Amino acid sequence: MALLQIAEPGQSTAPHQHRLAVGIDLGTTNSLVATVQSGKAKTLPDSAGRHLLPSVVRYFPDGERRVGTPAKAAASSDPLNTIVSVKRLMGRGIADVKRLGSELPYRFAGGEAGMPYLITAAGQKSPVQVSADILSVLRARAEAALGGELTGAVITVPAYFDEAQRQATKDAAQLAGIKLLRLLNEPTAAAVAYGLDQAAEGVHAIYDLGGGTFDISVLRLHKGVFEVLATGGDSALGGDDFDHAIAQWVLLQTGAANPDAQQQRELLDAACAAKEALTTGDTARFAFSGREFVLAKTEFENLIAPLAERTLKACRRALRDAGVKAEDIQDVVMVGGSTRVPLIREKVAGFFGREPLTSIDPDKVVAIGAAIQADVLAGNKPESDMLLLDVIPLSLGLETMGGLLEKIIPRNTTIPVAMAQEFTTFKDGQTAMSIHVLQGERELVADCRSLARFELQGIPPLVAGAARIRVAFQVDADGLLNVSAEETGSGVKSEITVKPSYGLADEDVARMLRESFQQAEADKHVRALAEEKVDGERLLVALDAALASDGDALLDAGEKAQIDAAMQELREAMAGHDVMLIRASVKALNAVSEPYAARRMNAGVQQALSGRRLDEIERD
Amino acid sequence: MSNTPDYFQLFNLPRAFELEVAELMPRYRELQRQFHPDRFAAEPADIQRAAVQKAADINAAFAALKEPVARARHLLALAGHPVNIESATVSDTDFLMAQMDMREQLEEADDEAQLAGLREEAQEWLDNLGREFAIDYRESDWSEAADTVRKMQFMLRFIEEVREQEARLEDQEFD
Repeated sequence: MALLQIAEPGQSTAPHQHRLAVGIDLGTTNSLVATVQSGKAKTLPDSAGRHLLPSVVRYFPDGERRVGTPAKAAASSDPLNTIVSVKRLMGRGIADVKRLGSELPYRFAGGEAGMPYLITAAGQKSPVQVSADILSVLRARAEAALGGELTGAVITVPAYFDEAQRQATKDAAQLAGIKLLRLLNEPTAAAVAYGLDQAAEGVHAIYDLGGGTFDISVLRLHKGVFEVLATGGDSALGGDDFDHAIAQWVLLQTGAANPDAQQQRELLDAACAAKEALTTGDTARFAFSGREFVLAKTEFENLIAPLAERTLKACRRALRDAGVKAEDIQDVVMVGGSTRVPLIREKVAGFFGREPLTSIDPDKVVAIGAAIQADVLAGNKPESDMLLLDVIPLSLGLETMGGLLEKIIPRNTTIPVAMAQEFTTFKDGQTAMSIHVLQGERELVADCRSLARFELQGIPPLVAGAARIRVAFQVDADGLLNVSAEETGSGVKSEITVKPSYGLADEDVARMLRESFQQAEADKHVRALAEEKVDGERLLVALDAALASDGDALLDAGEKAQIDAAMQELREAMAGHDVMLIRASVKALNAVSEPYAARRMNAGVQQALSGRRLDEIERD
Repeated sequence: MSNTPDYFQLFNLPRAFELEVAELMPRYRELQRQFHPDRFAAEPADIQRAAVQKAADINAAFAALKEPVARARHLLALAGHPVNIESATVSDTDFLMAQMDMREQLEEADDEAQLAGLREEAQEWLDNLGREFAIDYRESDWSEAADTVRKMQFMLRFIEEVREQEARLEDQEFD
C-alpha cells in the first residue's frame, strides 16, 4: 500500500475517512488552532467564542493550572506564578535567559542540562512544559470541536528559530500528546494562506513581526510550489520590545530603578495598552505608580525607530541572499500583531516601495496556513500539488582548530539536506576526536550557538593527518539536525541526533511523560499502546505489499530473511501489551528495512523522469 | 570516488558542462513533488527517512548542477579525477598577476560603482573559464580541466567577497 505509492505517484491509495488534522500557531502573545473543514481553513473558537488563546499559563499551589484569558487577567496580581511570553525562553540557556532576565519578572532555577526552570507555586516548570500546557488546551479545543482524536498537527515556528528552539517546540508537542506532522516556518505558513487564496505567482516577501520574534522570508511561488529563497530575522525582537521601550521611557522619568515583579508587570501591561491605543490615536494616557503619563505618537515612534530599522536591515540581507531587489517583489505580506503599528507599516511600505498586504487577519494567517498544510500531510488531499521547500535560517558547522567555525551547511540551503566534510587527526596516534556542532554566522565559535558535543572514539592510531574522519550533517524537513561521524578507513562510527545543549534530554522528556501519564486518567497508557500498534500495523502492511511487489527483485535471500525475522518479532510484540517492546520492535524493523526502502525510492526516481519529455514535465 | 552519485542521471540530463539552467527548475520541481518527505508524512519511519535522503540528494544535485563551478567539479569527480581545491595551486603566471591586481582593487574599492565593475570583470573571467573548461572536458584533458576549475573557484570566491563588501557598504549607508 504505502510503498506502492512510490512507484505510481499519480495514483491515490484506497479512499479513507477524513483525518482530523490541525494547524497550531504557538505564538509569543497568543496561540491559535485551525483546521480545514469542507475545503475551507478556519480557526477554532473556544466555548466562549474566542479564537485567540493568550499564551499565558498560571500555576497554583495545588498543581492546578489555568491557561489563556483567566491567566492573563492575573498576570499583574500574581506575576511569579503567571508565565507570559514563554516562547522567548524556548530552547534558550541560562545565560540567554539572564540576558533577558532584567526584563522578565520570573525566578529561575538552573536545570541539569543548562535548561532554565521557572519557579512557580506548582513547582519548577521548564519552558517546554509551559508550552505543552498551552498546546494541551488547544488540542482539547480542537478535539471537542471536531469530535474525535487528532491524527496530527502542524505547529509553526519562527523561520529564524535555531535548532535548539525547534527541538524544544517538538518536545512540547510530544509532552502535550500531539503527533507532530511537521514544524512549519511561520512566514511559509502565511504564504500558503495567501498564495492559495489568491493563486499568486512570482516572488513575494513575508514580513512577520510577532510579540517576540521577527522573520523576513522571500519566496517564489510557482504552480503550488512554495520555494523559500532566503530567510532572515531576529528570534528576540518583537512587539514585546516596543512595550519594554515604553516601560524604559516611564522608568527614566520616575527614576524608579528596580520595580518589583508586580510593578514590572503592571508597567508592561500599561505600556502594551498605550502601544495599542497609538495604532489609531495620536496620544496615549496611562497611570503608573500614582503618576499620570501622556505618550505622544511621535515620541513612541522615536522610541521604536531603532527597532524598526533593525527589521529593515534583516530585510536587506534577506533580499541579497535571495538574489533579488526590492522592486522584484510582487507583494509584501504582513503577519503578526505588531505589524498593526503604523510606523512599521510605513517603514515596510517605504522599503519595498509598495503598500503591504493585510487582507487576512495578521493574527490568524499563520494558523490558517498551517491548517492547510496539515490537511495535505494527513493525506486528506492526495491530489494536491502543494509543496513547501524551506531553508535553514542559520549556517551549521563544526569547531575546528583555533576556536573557529567551519561551515558545513550554509544558511538558506534548501532542506532536507545532507552534507559531509572530511577532517583528519592532528596528533600521531590520536584515537579520539571531539566533535562540536555549532550554528551561526560568526567566525568565532564563542559567538555561535553551541548545539552539541560528542566524541568519536576508536580511531585506529595512525600518524597525524592519516586518518579520514567524515562528519555528515543531515537536516530533515522539520529543520532538525542529525550528525554522524565515521573514520572511513576503519568504519568506526558515532552518531547522534542533536539534542541541543539547552533542550531537554531524552530522559527528561520520558520522565515528564511518565508524570503526565500518572496524573491523567489511566486510558493514556491505552492510547499510547494503541498508537504504537497502529504504527506497527502500518509498517507491516506496507512491507507486505512492497515485498509482494518487488521484494525478490531488490533483496537478496539474506536481507529478505532478516526483514522476515524482524517482521515476525514485531507481530509477536503487537500481540502483547508492552508499549516499549512494540516501539523497540518497530524501530528494529525500520532499521533493517531502511536500505530496502531507499532502493525502492531509487527505482521510483528512475521511473519518474525516464520516458517523459521536458515539455511534459513543464506543463504540470 | 566510485560512489559519487550521478546528478546528471538523476535529472535525466546528458553528462556535459553545457546546460540550460532554466531547464533545471521544472525538473527539480517535478522530482521534489514526488520525493519530498511531505509526500510521505503518513508513512512509516523507514519510508520517511528514505524520502528525506532522496529529497536531500535532489537538493544537492540541483545546487551542484545550477552553479557552473560545482557542476565542473562534479563532472571531474564522475570522470574519476576529483579536484582538491584546497591543496593545489594555480601555476599560470598571467592569471596569478590578474588575480593579485583584482585583489588590490577590491581592497581599495570604496564605492558601489567600483565594486560593481569588479564583480562584472570577475564574472566575465568566470564565463570565459567555463567555455575553456567545456573544451578541456570534451578533450578529456584532466590536468588542464582541473587547473581551469581552480581558476573558476578563485573567481567565484572573489565574486562572493565583492558581494560581502557590497553588503557592508549598503548596511553602512543606513546605520
